[in-house]
Amino acid sequence: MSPKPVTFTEGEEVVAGGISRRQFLWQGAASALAVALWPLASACDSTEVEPIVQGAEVPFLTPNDTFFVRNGAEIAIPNWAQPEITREQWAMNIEGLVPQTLTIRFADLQAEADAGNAVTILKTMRCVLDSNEVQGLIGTAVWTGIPLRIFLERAGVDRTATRRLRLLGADGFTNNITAARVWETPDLTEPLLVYEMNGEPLPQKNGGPVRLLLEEAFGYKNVKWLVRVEATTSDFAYGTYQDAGFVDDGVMRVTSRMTRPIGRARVRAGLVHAAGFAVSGFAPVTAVELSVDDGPFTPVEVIPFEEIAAAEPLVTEARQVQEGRPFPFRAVWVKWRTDVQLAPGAHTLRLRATDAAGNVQPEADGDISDGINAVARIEVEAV
Amino acid sequence: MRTSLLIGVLVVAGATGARAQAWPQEAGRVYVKLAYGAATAAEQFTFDGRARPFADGVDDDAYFDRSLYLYAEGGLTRHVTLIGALPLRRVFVRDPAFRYRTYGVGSAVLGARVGLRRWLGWENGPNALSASAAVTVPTGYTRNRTPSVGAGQVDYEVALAYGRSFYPLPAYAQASAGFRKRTSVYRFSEAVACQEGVDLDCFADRRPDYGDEFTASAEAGYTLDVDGPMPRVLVQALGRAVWSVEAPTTAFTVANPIPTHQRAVKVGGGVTIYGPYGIGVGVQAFATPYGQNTVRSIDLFLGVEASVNL
Repeated sequence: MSPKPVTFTEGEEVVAGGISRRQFLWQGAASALAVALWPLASACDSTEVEPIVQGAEVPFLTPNDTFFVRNGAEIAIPNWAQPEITREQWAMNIEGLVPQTLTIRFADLQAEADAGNAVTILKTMRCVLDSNEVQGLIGTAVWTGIPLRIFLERAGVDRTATRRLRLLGADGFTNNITAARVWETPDLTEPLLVYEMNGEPLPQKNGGPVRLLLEEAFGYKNVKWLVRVEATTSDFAYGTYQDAGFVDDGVMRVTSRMTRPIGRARVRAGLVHAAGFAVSGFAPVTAVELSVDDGPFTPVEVIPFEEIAAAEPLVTEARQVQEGRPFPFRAVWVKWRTDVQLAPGAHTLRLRATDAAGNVQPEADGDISDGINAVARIEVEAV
Repeated sequence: MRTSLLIGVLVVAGATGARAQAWPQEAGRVYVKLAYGAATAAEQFTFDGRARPFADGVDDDAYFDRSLYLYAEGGLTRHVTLIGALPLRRVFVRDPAFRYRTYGVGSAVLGARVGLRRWLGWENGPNALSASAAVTVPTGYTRNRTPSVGAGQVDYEVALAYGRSFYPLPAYAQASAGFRKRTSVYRFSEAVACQEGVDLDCFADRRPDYGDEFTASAEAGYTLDVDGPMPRVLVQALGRAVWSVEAPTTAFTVANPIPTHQRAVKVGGGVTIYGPYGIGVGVQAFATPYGQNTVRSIDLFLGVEASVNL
């Protein structure tokens, strides 16, 4: 927009067009006032939200090639780039409260695996940002790795003095776990240095060749491309996400999601098939409930493990299954399904989950730092 | 926390600022331009200038601004020109699951430009200098929509513009530099009650304290066939920049996921054909080769302009 690009002569001293300067001034002022006031009275903006996809039932195991990728460091660390490290190049230092720095290489992991110390678990990886409004940052896989404890003890970490272990990824991302989580949490799988995902080498985009795996935790506690562990006396909540204000413990709060139909979808009136998942890092999910149009919450069907195992035999290699633990498992999502009768018109479906520790999704939660998702509200139009 | 989608808020401020011009309008002369703007982006620039997808999980275009811009200025006296602009905005963003579209009147710009040639003794020379001041005022829209049609607060901008005519060549060049004070005055916009994490069409009303910015523009034009039988054609090279005084830092905080500092450089060109009665029809295009906390967009403007003496 160049209003007057090639006019170089000055205008007349008096106003052109047969009106006086006074008239022109008044006209100009009135016009400016009108321009100023008219829009102030408008306030007529509106927003529409449309689903791009109609929703789908997600598989119990998320394939590696479609597993979500979210790198918190990408928008937090200057000049961030995804590390490109081969198994041969990978090295991880254990530093801090140790007699001397110990460097672990991939061959050390392999040797432990050969010695029968590899652990395979099912775990749902959920980004803390995954929510009703930002969907898809979640997936479940079978992960295989070696307990970090083995190498900490080999390095001679001072267990008495150590309060926390500071973790550093090759991309600069940081986080921490408590020493108690390593040595004093028998009800959880030990923190693992994982190198396989769904039976394949851990993809680089998911933190390969080696990342930390913390069974109960949001993604940001599971540091990718792990290259340094520092034992420290500090109890400071160290970490990139903690600096940004996210909760330090990182335990996945109980949540549930409807993946079919998706919010704002138009569905055929009548019996509508709905499906989704629910997960909690505190305890196994014990109930998933649905409410239609502010009606009472009623339980939906959780898909039994036998059906899952028949479709996804790989899940039977997980420690939770091998040890015969009852399903659902802690920190592993359950899939649910139900059929809902919907008359033509607009409907609001509400979904919530409860875990065995008594945690239930709250009706409201405005704090995005706590990882809590409020009761999901899915608005659909039946036609 | 849809940081990727919210970054579009900053673009609004960059696109609707008043434009400094070296030459004031003649007294009683009014220039009006109506432009259709189409900005499209698949990527955004991060706080440190890296390009990344505009929306996580979307490789295609994910930011679309399809807006109408009304721009007018009139010579109040031979040295003072009033300027005003009003956008009717349609902004679309998408993520892997949803498409969000907001329609509404964006922030209005009101200002004045004062020609300084008289005081510099340049009245008969090729040089021109003007000073301008403008205020950007929200028009009552809702600032916490996803996306919003504006940042929701009041900005003040002052600028100096220097221009030079290369007469007898039908060419000119000008450059401007300015300062934009981004206030925390939010009274001219509204906010809806929004339960973040549940409501899709809005986000929490955080009223960010946006950082002040330097602004700059440069343009050079050459007119083809000034006196010939063919329509007069103006060819322009154009550049714009918005540069926050403080460098953008990470946008990654829970307390405020909306980036508050932006930097962007846009370069482009334009062609305007002038027909009968001085009515011009033009096209301008810009690319965004560098930015921080802004959308890496391609901007296209199709406009009709006219000047009349009142």
